[in-house]
Amino acid sequence: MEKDTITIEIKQEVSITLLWIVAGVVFVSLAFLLTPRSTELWPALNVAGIVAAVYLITLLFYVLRKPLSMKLRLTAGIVAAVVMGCSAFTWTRMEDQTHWNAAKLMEIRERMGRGIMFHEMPAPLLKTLQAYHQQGAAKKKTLEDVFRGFYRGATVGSNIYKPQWEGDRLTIIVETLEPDRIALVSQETYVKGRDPNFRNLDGRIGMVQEKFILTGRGITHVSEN
Amino acid sequence: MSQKTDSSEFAPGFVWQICLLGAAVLAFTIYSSKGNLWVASKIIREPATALHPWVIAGLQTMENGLAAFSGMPPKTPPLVAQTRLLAALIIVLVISPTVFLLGWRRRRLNPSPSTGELRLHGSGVLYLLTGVITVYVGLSAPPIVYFAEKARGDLRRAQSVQDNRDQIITDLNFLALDIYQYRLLPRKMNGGAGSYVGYTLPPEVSKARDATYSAAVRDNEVAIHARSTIYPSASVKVTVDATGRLVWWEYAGEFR
Repeated sequence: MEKDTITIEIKQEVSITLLWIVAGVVFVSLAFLLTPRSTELWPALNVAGIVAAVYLITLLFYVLRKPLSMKLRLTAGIVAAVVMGCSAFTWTRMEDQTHWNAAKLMEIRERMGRGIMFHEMPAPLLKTLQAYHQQGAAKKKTLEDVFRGFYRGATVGSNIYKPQWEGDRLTIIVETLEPDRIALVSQETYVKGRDPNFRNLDGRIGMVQEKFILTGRGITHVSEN
Repeated sequence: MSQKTDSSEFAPGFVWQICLLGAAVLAFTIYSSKGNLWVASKIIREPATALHPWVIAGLQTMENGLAAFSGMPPKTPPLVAQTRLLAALIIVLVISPTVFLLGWRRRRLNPSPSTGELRLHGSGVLYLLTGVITVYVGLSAPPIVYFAEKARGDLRRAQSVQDNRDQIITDLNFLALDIYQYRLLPRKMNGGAGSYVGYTLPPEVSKARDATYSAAVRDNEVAIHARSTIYPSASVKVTVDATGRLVWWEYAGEFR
């Protein structure tokens, strides 16, 4: 008789455990799978995480009910709250930190791109300026003439930059080529600049773009985007 | 009624399925951490992070960040990553705490009779396994918060120093351009006509946020000293040579 009772009670416990697991798996999976897909795992994870937290809190209330002693329930409840609080904190901080890291990578990429432009763009203009002023007070050649002397065939819209290595995608485009004014422009093809609506020289929208302008008085720099 | 035996608490099929699953997870974790089981490493790429689903999502974000850095569009997470994440969520947040907590309650209310011998039955193994996972996740949570926050703080500070250093280097490049132009321009255009003598730093330099700049001018070179305003012990010294190049870079303090 006692064996039968034990068997029934055990079956009930197994059923309850299975019921909890099945309910948890179904709710968490549904929350995860029904969240619209994106290029990130965070949206689905966050929704499923919230559902899992609700599930765990419900489970804790169920597990810590009477007849367990109040002291034990309180202790276990506090420990559970601390663990869940720490996990939630780590979770949200991880999301924030990884997004910060990814954004920082693009900031670094932007800085690298501008740095390369700042390094490469003034050189042709300085060379032109030097040769222009070396003519002395009575100048026979204009800035345009001197520049064309260095970059034969250069016209408005042409790229005067020679790639330094395989995969070097930098371009330095002649935007203006006038007797007393030369403007060079360089832009990124996929790195966003400050203004998302800025129209770049090649028709792209919102990319980094730098300009250097040469006149007889020297070089000026304009960070266009 | 009050005396229960561990051996018959769960249906044998259920116990062994869960045990096998747990053993498989542990085996994959151990083997893939040593990198000598290809299948395991495909399932648990980073065993140390397998029990923290948010780390898996973080890795995906970083992969997207690296793709963007290289000009590649972000990709939808592969099915294996999504499956891995969902499996980690279910094991860590559903199965383990459920089996462990319900088993813990049962044991608190109906302790097994003390027979003096170690009885390792199916439910005991399962309870132990889920207990290990639950306790591991629980115990590791506070130290992870501490170390993650420390790493986060260190990383942000290091990046802030690097930002400051990069900004100063950019400023120095523009200063070098200004200095060399001075040398190229004739005197009637306020230039040095082939010399740096007479050059003074442009007024906008004194308004720079990141550093204070000073210059020591000689005929054929200008030495520039930039001291960070954000990290006062950090500074950069560099010289503009006769051809306008920046040479002899020296970093001090936190820039080193």
